[in-house]
Amino acid sequence: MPLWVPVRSQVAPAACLSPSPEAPRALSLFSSSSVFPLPNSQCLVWRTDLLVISSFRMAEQPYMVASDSETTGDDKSQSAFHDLAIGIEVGTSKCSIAVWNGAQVELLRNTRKQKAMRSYVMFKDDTSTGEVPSGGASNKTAYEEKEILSGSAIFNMKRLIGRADTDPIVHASKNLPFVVQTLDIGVKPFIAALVNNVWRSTTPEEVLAIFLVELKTMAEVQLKRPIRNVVLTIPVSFNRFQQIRVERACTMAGLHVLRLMPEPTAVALLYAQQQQQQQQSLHGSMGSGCEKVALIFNMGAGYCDVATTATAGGVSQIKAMQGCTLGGEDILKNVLYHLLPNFDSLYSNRDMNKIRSMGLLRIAAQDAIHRLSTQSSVQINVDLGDGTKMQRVLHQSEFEEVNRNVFEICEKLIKLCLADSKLAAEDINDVILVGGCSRIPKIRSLVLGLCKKEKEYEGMDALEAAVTGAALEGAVASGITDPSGSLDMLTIQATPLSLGIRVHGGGFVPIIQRNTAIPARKSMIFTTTQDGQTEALIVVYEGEGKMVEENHLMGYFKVTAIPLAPKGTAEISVCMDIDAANTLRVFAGAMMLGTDRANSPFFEVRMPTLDDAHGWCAQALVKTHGSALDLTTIPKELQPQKVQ
Amino acid sequence: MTALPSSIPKPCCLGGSRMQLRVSATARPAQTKSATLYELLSVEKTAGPEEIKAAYRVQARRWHPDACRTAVDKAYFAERFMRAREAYEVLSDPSRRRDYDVSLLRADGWAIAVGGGVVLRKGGCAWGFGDWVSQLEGLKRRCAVEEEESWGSRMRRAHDSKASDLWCLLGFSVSE
Repeated sequence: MPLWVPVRSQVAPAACLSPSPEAPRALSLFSSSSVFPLPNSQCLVWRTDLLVISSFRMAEQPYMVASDSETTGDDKSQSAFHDLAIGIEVGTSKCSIAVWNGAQVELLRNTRKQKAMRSYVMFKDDTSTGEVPSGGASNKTAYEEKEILSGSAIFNMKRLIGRADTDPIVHASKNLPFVVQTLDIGVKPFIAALVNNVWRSTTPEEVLAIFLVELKTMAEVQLKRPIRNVVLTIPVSFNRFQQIRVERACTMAGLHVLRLMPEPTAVALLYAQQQQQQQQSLHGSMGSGCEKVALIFNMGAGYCDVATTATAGGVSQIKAMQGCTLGGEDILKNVLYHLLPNFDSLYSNRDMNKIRSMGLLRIAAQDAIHRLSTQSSVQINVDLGDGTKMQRVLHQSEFEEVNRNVFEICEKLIKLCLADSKLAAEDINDVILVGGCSRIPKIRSLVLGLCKKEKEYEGMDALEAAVTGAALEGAVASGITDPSGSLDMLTIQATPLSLGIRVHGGGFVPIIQRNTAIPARKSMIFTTTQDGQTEALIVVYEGEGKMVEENHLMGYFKVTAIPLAPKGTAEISVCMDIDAANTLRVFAGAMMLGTDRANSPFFEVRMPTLDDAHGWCAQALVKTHGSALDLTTIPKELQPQKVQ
Repeated sequence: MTALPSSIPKPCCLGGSRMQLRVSATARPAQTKSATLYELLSVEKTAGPEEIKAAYRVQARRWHPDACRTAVDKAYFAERFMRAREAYEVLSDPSRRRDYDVSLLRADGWAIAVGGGVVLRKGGCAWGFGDWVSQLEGLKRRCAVEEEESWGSRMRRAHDSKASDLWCLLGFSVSE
């Protein structure tokens, strides 16, 4: 029988798994299981109460299913690796899995011997499934890519997950072959895949979950053990809402997220390990060594991240991070619109022929972009069907001009990151370029130029660095020790986004600033805006905007029992706490007038508390309560300065 | 002082430095004083930037929650790590360190008596485990928000609640 065990510090419940060999067992164990037929032959099995638990998780102690059948280890050596977390990088375009094999990190290959697998799930004819077992399509086999672009496959889920239909990224995804519908009301977008000439709906989490199940099964077959714990990499710009969605997809896939790691910090860990090994071989012993500072630029198909890290003696400190939703997808879109200025109007009606020709054009454009990394011009020849052919030459200069906005944003991110970390180009020892887009010559020269470096750091595979770092973190977090000391490492993470609350007038006041080292706890005093105000709304946001609308609403709750007093005199203390597992708790309460004691028990709220429709909530709060429950700041010099 | 590694930091720690307002206005014996930032990092007051950085790394390795293998102690580790981190942040910033050094000197003797007369440089460090800075802050704040009761009455009351005070300073509460 499964046991329900409260787990103190961990993140998400791990539970059912589906089309793996263990599915029948999972089914029999869970009497209350529901079997959800997905729009293909697969079924995601989940317990009716699992959904309750996963939302429960946001507010309360998480619970994890521990099956006693798994705890009986064989021999000692195996049991050490029994629960070893694997590293997974689910990219917008490609995905890979890596695991610590006892001496080093090894990337797993699919049945077609590929380490980088295309991230998509095919919904087709009620028979086929996601990608992994059949292997990711390489760019050279156009046939398969054509299939992916036929409308039957959902891809780019990393760009869609956890976003509302008002998000510009969701709107930009409407030019993809599958259906993305938006109603602009701040709810989950409608997405659908073409199955037997019918658009069948699904959700980004569901797609990600199916994909993760496949990855899990693949890893289980190869490693010959059940996989439960994972370290997953995420983009820097993922807000907590998106993180919850990713965790939930993992839960649906029967995976337990040990840690969600921003991609550049995974790269930073790998860098720290390499530096440590280098210094060990130089000096023969493990000293603290001299500090090395690296700038990591990571740009893949969906996201662009920049981070700076300082490492010495196995301890790396993330000094600053910046990220945004910008990647190969945007570059591709710019090129598509350049090649076919009337792209949108051409493909607004989705008949089969149009989808096919759009797919062909996408493939041709993608191929051209890849080739432009090594050539100064490429010939594009593509037959779009219905009599239209495209024959033209694309020059590198033309490509760079079309994508000028992309390069400008990259430049801005790097400058911001350097400023945040209080570093000048001269302070940087190494520049690490990772991700598929780091192969674009213009991007390389831009990053190196800004860092005043002749060449980039060598010794990392641009496409494997993040997943390798995730696997390292998985080994470290699983408590594996290595005699050579190569796992004797610590990464001090930082919060990529500021966290704060709404104040009177719709302003956003950060309490924990971005790039604060984790764990962190900061508090601030606020005051009332009405005479005799006895209640106040604490509305928690995450982001960098000065006004709350620009940020992400995480949740809200009401502080009560504020002592009766003229406006501006009562004191409400709000404290934010992020623990090492990156869980955010908000404490708030009113102080007794003129004292430092709480007037009544404080509130402790785990964030985010919101699920869907967060676009509505903020408006509804304002509509219903106006400014009656608003708070405002007190002057900075009157704030307590110390964190404790 | 034995810290009680209870699991969750209780909101009683919220008041931040203002908790220290309750400490008696007369200079306290050195032993009961909170550790200085230098003591937190186990460095001499003369330590250079590299030394401070290295000391911080040692503390981070020791106290980062990731280095903690027992779930029960994680919160205590986090607490210790955050203190070391704060100490590092102040001491690695030359101007904040200078301000802190000044506050340390003053806290040693006469500062409290004349505290009200000292004006802090704007944006300077009103931070530290030394008491007078926070007392000063408290005073300034009280002046700004029309007093409802006297400083003395608060001090007297504060005296009575010294026990809970200790936990507050530690950032912990007694487990039930």
